[in-house]
Amino acid sequence: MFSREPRAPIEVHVFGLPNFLVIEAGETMMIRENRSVWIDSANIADDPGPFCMSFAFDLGVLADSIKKIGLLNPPYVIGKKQGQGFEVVSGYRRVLAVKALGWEKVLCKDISNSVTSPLEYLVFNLYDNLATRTFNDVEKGMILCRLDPLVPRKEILEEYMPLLGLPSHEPTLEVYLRVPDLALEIKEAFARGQLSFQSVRALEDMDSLSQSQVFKWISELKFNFNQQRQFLEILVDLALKDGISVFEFLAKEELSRYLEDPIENRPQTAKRTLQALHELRYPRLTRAERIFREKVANLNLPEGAILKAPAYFEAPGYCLEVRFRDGKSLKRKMEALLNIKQLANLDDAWVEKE
Amino acid sequence: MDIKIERMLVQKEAKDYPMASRIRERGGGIPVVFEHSEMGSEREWKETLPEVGKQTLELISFKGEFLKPCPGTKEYICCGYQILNIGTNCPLDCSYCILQAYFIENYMRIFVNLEAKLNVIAHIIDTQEENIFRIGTGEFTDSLALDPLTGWSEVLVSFISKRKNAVLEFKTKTDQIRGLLNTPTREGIIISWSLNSPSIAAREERGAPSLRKRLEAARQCQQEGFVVGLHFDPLIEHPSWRKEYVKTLELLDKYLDPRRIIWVSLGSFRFMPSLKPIVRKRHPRTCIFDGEFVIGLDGKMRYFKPIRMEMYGFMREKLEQWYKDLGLYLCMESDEVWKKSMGWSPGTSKGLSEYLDKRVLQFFGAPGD
Ligand code: SF4
Repeated sequence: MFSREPRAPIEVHVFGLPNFLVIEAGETMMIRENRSVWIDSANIADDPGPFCMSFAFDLGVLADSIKKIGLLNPPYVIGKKQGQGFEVVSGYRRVLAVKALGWEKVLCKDISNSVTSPLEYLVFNLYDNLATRTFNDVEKGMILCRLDPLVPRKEILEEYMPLLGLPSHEPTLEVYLRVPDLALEIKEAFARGQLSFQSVRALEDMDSLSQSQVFKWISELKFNFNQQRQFLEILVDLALKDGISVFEFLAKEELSRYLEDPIENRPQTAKRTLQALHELRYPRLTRAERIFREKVANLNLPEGAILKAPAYFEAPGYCLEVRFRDGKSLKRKMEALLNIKQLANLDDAWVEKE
Repeated sequence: MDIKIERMLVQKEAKDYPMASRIRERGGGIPVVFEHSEMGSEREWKETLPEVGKQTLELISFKGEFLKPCPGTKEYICCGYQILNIGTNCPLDCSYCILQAYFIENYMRIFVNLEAKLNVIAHIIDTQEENIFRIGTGEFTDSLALDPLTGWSEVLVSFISKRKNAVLEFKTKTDQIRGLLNTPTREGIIISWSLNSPSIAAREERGAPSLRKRLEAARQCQQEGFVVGLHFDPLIEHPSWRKEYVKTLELLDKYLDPRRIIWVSLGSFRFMPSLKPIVRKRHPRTCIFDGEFVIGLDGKMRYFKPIRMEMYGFMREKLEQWYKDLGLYLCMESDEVWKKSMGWSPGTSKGLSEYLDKRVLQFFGAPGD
């Protein structure tokens, strides 16, 4: 049952809240003093502060759990300068949850006198979180951003990126470092796994208008990761070629109509949009594909016979596939094939005949 | 052409080679900011620099093989060239340079133990008398851009002139020919220029001398008795590309004697997919990716086949109008593209090798002549 009164303090710090913190192999930082103190909720800062690494979380579930079984795992706080309340080092979501539940006092661990540097607080929070959950991609970006001014690049790459399940790869780090600057809606989609890493990387290289317009297209047409890749790759190429921004390119009438005035359902509109972009990006290839299709259609191949061109017509020759039930039907189909006079005219797919 | 080298890094094992001393002497004012042995690890050194880039020259003792056949691929016809590794990267900064994807650090490296390894290379060449070695140094660097410092021309010209079955091609976009002109022999030496349309040269070949300057240098080399080669590689589809390439062909006519050109290669722009994001970052205004690229049979991106055929066909027609016997060939193309754009095909890599070997014999005579 929901109670406005805080429960009695439970003097255990379970669920991975360690009394010590491993910073580096061989070097163990002890939390020397972690006083349990009751703090007025109002005295704990509402803003995430410099150590928070939580983004796009569901407060409701946590609040429900606290409501049912209490706050088993107290937040860790430090006193702000000049006695202006407390800053959360670890447990920001728990603080928000108890505030939402209307608790007036929260039992916290005050580690103000225990660890001293911002890096130690940050690392403390990181390990605390790592013990109980996985981070979403935006949170990984937040963590790396916070570590960046405090830790040498080499150490971030070699130690912290693997810790976060990321490759020790500088360009990947660069992408994550820019994640916190993205618009909220984009970050939310990335955190929910609706945007691929490649898409985020492409978005980061765009101006903010283009970013939000591209995001609008991706979310309205519900492009999957593969479609996002195609969409972004072609779009960026075309905009650069025209010397305009992606935003301006998407505003072109021949494209914008797909979004503004969809005549089909969403998956079909998505497909048509990509097709339209493909035609703009690869006009000659698209024309060759069309000519080839028309040529094949005019051949009137027997049923079960399919004539295929190699990928992008790069390799020489074609491939004929014939499906048949038995020897007799194969013979019939072969004879029909031999009787197709136009077969002799099958030449380069891209050559348009008069 | 100004070479701007701001600092030099000398590897411990490299510092006693004559080439290293020569470079340090000729590069007089270039500060040697580091000798591995004296200042800790290479990594530490690099971390102290604001930008380890094209302004940095590293002198190293190369541990790999100096002479290697051009890797080619079985899907396309290769010319059977031998690559002589003399260093990596160069002071120019072409937007399409493949080396941007090969080497994470884009500083220049000189393999100063080259002279010490020439006996190994000589053994390889001399023990295969039946083969003609067409050797080039311009695969991983510009062959002449750093010649005033390294003295590659002095070392290599005398080395090649002693071989009966080898020619050496210096491939460049520069006008750094002084070293070559001072050498006593022309035997077995080909000086080739990479050319493009004037607009591509100006826009995409940052730091390279203008086409006019390159061709003036080529003319001087021809006048001094050198055999010259030309490479239109990469051909790039860009606005009015026909008119643009014709401008270059007109310049050729003005500056060069076509009878003293051993070969002219044509190769359309191709690249590993991983190069594109790197170029987009380093050269945001580039136009090299504007065309229609598809994945080729070797996994590299290349222009859609009819576009390549059109470009080759056009260049062939115009070049042949200038002179019929230029030793035209295509770089890394299929038998089909050869036939449809050049009107014939060597059929295989072996066939192309034989064709180019014949050109060598035509210009330099048979071994022992
Ligand atoms: S000259 Fe050659 S090696 Fe130098 S940057 Fe240009 S393409 Fe690369």
